[in-house]
Amino acid sequence: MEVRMPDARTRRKHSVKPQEGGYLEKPYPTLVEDVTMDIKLDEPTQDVVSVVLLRSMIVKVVGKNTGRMYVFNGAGSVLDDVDRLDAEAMLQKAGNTSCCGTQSTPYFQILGR
Amino acid sequence: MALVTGTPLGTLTTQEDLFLEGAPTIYFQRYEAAELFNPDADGFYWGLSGTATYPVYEVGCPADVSFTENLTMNDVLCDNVGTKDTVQQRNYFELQFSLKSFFPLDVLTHLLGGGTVVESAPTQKMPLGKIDNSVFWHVYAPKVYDETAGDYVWLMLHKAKFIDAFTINMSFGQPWTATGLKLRAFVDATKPAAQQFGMFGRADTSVIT
Repeated sequence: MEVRMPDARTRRKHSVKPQEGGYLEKPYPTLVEDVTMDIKLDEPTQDVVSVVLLRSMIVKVVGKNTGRMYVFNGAGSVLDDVDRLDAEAMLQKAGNTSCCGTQSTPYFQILGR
Repeated sequence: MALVTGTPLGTLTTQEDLFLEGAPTIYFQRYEAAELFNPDADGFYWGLSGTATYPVYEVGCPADVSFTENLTMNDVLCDNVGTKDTVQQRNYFELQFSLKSFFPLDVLTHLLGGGTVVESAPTQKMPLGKIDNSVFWHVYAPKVYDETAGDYVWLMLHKAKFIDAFTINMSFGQPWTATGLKLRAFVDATKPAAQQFGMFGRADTSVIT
């Protein structure tokens, strides 16, 4: 039986010698050493304000920034931990204008302003 | 021009040829709140000042507004000469009106004797249950009769309550109208005797100088 050696066109660029047993193994990349990093993240700063309800009813409102549900129990009720951006959006909830031109006050007020 | 005959002699106070027209704007606030002037320099208690806890409410689009009183009258009857006197006791005043504005519900609930409104966008819900008889109101009803000069009159009732049954008419082609609304003003014993029910005032810089 004639054995023909491969020519340059078919010769592999990288020759891999078979290990004992005849199996060729792909070279695996060396494992990166397992490193544990102790990263301490700062607590996110919570910019909160106190908001008072100026309308005589129970109002449930979803904060436009946080999506959190706030429940105010009647006129004068105060929530002290309202996200600032939520509160700014709440201020946009304005009252209506009466038949005689009087404007209702808005629903909410940020305390301290 | 004075009458040639018939004019009384002496001190005479005549009434002005100035006539009021139209209903006042009606505002009300919980009785627990202090009135705006509590009292003023003349010792009168009147006006409203809304707070976060006790807002002032405005009655929108009232109609058929009237103001009246209720008296108990007893004649003093003498069997020898007849009736010599009538003793009167003022029981209360009443401000009666119909209402065509129904929103928002947190105002309507006080007018119709409803409960605490709950708002959760996009809904407002007003419960209809038992009447709370412990709720009283200050009532302030100003009426501007000269818009150029800013002259106005006002009615102040210290301690009033919404009483009597209402009826809401829902006719075709007509706005819903709540009739039978009455604000009955009772004696407020915390006020001076001369103004225990309230007061009526007038502000006119051109006439009252």
